[in-house]
Amino acid sequence: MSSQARCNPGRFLSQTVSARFRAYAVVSLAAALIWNLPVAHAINLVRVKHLFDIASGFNAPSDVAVSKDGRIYVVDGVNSAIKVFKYDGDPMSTFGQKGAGPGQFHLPLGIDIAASGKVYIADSGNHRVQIMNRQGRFETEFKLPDNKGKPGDPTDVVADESARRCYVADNDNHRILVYDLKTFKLIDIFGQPGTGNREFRYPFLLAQDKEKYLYIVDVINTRVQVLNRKGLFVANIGEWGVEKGHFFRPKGVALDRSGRVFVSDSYIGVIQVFDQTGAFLGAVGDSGTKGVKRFKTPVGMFIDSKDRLYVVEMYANRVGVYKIVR
Amino acid sequence: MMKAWAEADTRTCAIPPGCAKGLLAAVLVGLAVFLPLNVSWAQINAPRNPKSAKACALCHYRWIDTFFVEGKGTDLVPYQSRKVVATPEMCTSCHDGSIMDSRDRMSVGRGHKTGVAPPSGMRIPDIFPLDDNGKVQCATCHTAHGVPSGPGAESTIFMRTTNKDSAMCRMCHDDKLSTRMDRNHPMGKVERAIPRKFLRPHAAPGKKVDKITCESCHTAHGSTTNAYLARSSRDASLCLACHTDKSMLTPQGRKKPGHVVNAKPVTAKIPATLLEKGARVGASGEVICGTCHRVHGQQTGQHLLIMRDDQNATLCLTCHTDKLSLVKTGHNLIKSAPKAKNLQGQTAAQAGICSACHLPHKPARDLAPGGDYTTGMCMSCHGKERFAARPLIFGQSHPLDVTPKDAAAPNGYYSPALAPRDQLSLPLYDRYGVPSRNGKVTCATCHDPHRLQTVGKTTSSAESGTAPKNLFLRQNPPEMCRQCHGDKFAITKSKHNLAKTAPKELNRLKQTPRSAGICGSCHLVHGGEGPFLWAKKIPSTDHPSNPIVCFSCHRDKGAAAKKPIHANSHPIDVAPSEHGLDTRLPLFAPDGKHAADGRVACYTCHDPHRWRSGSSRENDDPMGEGDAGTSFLRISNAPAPRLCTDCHREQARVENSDHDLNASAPDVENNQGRKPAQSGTCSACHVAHNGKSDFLLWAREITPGSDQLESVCRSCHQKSGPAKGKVPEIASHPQDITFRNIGRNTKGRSGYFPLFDPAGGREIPNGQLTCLSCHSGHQWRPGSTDRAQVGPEEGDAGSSFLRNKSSDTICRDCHGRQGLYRYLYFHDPVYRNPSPAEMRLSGP
Repeated sequence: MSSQARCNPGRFLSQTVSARFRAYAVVSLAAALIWNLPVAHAINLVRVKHLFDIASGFNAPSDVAVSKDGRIYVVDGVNSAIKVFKYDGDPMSTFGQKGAGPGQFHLPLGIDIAASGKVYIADSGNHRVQIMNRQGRFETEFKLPDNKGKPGDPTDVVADESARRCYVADNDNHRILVYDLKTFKLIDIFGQPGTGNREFRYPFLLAQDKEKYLYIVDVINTRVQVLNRKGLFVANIGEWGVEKGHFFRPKGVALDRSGRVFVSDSYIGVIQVFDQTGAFLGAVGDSGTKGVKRFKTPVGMFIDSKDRLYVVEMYANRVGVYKIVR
Repeated sequence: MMKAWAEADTRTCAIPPGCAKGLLAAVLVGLAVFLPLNVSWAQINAPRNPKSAKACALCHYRWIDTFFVEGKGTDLVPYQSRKVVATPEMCTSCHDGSIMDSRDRMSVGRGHKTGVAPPSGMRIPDIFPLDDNGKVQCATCHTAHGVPSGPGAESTIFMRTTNKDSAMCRMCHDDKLSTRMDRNHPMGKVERAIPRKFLRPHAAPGKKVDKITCESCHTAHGSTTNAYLARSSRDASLCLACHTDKSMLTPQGRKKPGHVVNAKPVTAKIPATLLEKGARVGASGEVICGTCHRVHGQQTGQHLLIMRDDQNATLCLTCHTDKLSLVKTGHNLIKSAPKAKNLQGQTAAQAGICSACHLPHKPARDLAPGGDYTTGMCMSCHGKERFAARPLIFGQSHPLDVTPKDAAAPNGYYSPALAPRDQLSLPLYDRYGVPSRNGKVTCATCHDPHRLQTVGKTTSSAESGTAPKNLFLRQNPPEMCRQCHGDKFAITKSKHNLAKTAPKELNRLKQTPRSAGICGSCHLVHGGEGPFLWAKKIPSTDHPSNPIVCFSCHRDKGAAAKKPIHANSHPIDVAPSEHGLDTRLPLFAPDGKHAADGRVACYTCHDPHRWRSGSSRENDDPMGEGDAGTSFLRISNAPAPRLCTDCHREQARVENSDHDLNASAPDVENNQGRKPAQSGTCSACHVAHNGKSDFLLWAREITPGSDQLESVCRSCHQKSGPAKGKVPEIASHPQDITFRNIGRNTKGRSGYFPLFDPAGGREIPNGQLTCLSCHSGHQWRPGSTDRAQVGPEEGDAGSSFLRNKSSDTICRDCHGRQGLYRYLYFHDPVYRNPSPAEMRLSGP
């Protein structure tokens, strides 16, 4: 398979902004130090309204997905279970337990709900993807292959039923695996270890937009890499650093209905928003402080058709539910 | 001892080419001139070789140029002055599954402490840096620049030094070193491999599975229990995973001798003083391995015991304080058997007084074969040819391996013991010696081998004649006996309380009733004879295979010589079933045990412990003369004859008939001088004991008749008898004719006319016609099971105690058409021989 870098507008923008900002920052810092003045910052805030939190005995949850009929599925990783909630956050059911049998999990990480309502779960510790029906009943599974002796390490999955494709992030092997959704045969592999375009260092959580572009959080490369459905490089979103549009530990990615890309950073605890070209649009704001909203280890996210933003805060053991204010 | 955090971190950081040293110098100079001294970041111990390259700053967050060079925060994040490279937040930012998944080890339960200072006195080697505040952090043990060494299969865990065979753990926790074998659980190579099943998910062996390391029991991360253990130490499962020989149960689930674990103390109490010494208990107070042993830091140098166990068994008796009294008893083998050795070859003086009988994890004695565990323990010393043999117990003894609530005979007429388990204060034991409410009687049910004196007041009384001796008994008899045999204590104020009625009578042990106790007068728990552990000599009778203990006293010159049992008494040693009878009264095997297919004994009809049947009163004029409602009868026999009719059910129909003298002749006495009200319905005619005739045990003076049965009937049906209004002028058939009774000798069938031996009165096939050929004697109206009502009813051919109401009589067999006439007028000397004209009237 070949890779082809088409463009990298986000990276260009980020570098430019970073250089400009650095000069500005030095000047403003010196002024602040000399005259003891507050350092002025400017950042666009994407306003969200907190609706409620879901905290249901989670133990290091990692990802969330919402079905078309409004069921909220949360991957409760260390509890090796998937917990299901009603749209208002009330508990509904739980399925799965620790183990390696059908319907059992070991440290699952990512989740996706296909258009049909089937639930796809990256059962990371068991090196497999399990597919359940909407009630959580086991339907089938497929195991990831080893790569030079290293077991497959599925951390997230995206099911594109219309294209009969299933994309799986093979974290430890730094690649994306593509499966046929009918035969569950491995049909393609995107990427390899590295720092270049279409190369990965620990791809983690995934998202797919309406145009079927695949958004891959490339954790150690501190970016979100965008591939098209054939695996060709499209763009990078974000870069290493702590400035606006930079990432320190990017973890989750989600797109709203207008195509904005939300990326969570678990260490610095923020969610930044980009357009699909990688241009920085702002950060999720805190309506109380009027500043950047601080999350505790935000990881997996989901945005539903009603502009609800679901944020898994892994070590807070909760899922925050917000309304994106337009 | 404690090094600054930054020094350690710079150990492997090379000076980066192109580092913004110029900018840093300029900023530092500016700071020196302009910055107020309280600016926080000026106080930071700067690393010597900070490197802002992404590969470093990925963890060294504050080395990012924005913070360290530019000295500011951004719109996105605040300025970072504090070192965070070793914080749990930094570690988990990768170990959350995005790079490595350590969630179950880092977030679940407890891991090695972080954010706390080491305990005072713990020496932390320089190689393990603490943070600026002297506290342990992740980086104290881990560093991304470390060596790829771990204790198990997962080797690349970035330790600061090799942890092979827990080498790193021991650098700080040197008080846990296995070299201090007297204080800590041994480490290193062991004889048995650590079970692989136990090694999952967290425990890890050394290089081989037979090598114990810290990680064999502990896990620095991911423990869900206390002390970073792979399994909870609040029960014994952690220890027993390897020490399988210490388990209470065999692989087949059978109890092994040894101290219980994972069980709440029942008789013992774990004192606060022991807990203060470090003893641990289970979550609900159960005894666990840690109750006696301490894996680390114990001081005794003796099997890791929490306190030294000595000759006086101090450790054992710390909890088992109720066993302290053993010291002064003969069961303290240091005194009584100093040379006796347990299975370990140790004398009591060598291994402690408890060790003579108990070892915590293995049997101490060679148990006597058979029986339950506790009995086996006792007999291991007191059995035959053992050093403390007790001949008295070699004979008959109280039964063991039985429940205190034996199955009662139907209707509860009889049961040896009827102790409600929930009211029983004596302990029962399962076959493995564990006290159990559902257990059975063992030696230890009555004996407490640890205590010579019973606790509390004895209930000695003149009436019960309490035995003063106490042979390790849990309670003083007879109160202890009462625990199971409480229903027998109705005897106390009866004539069978020999302390009252025969105070000089001696039992086999030459004890008077007062010294033997009320029970011991008749029963010996050890050394009894024959049935019922009989305490007296049982005289020989006509029934050697079924000895009757009653005859010990109820004989001439016996203690109950006034009430001897002579000939002409109700038969014993017979099986009712052999006579077509069945009964709900208890029958007995020769050994005195209740047996459904047993034979009649005195105790079938008598309950020697209760003067008046069904009475809860222990005293009911016990010294007076008995009657059919008392006399130790198991069931009252008056006014209704319930006792006799329990076997003789057909005869029960006599009640309320003219033959029930209670109704028809209440003032008439039998030949023992008793009126029917005293003797009961049956004994007005039949006496159970000492009758004047063995024929029907007839209770009246027999008047001569043509045959024996007629003589019996004539005893009443005579002009001076109670049935003087019913005296037939003729009542016999010519005696010179012998009949062959064919078809009429089947009892229960219509037309039953039995024939009898005129001399012996027994029913025989070729006998004579006599009274009982036509009359039943006990049933007023043939075919009716109703009992006759008292009243002046004159009899006819359908009543009058006749066996049959039919013209099909035995008379017809010989006399043909004259038969009915002869039958109807049998007692009429005129009409019993009809004229030819009468014959014609009677028809063919």
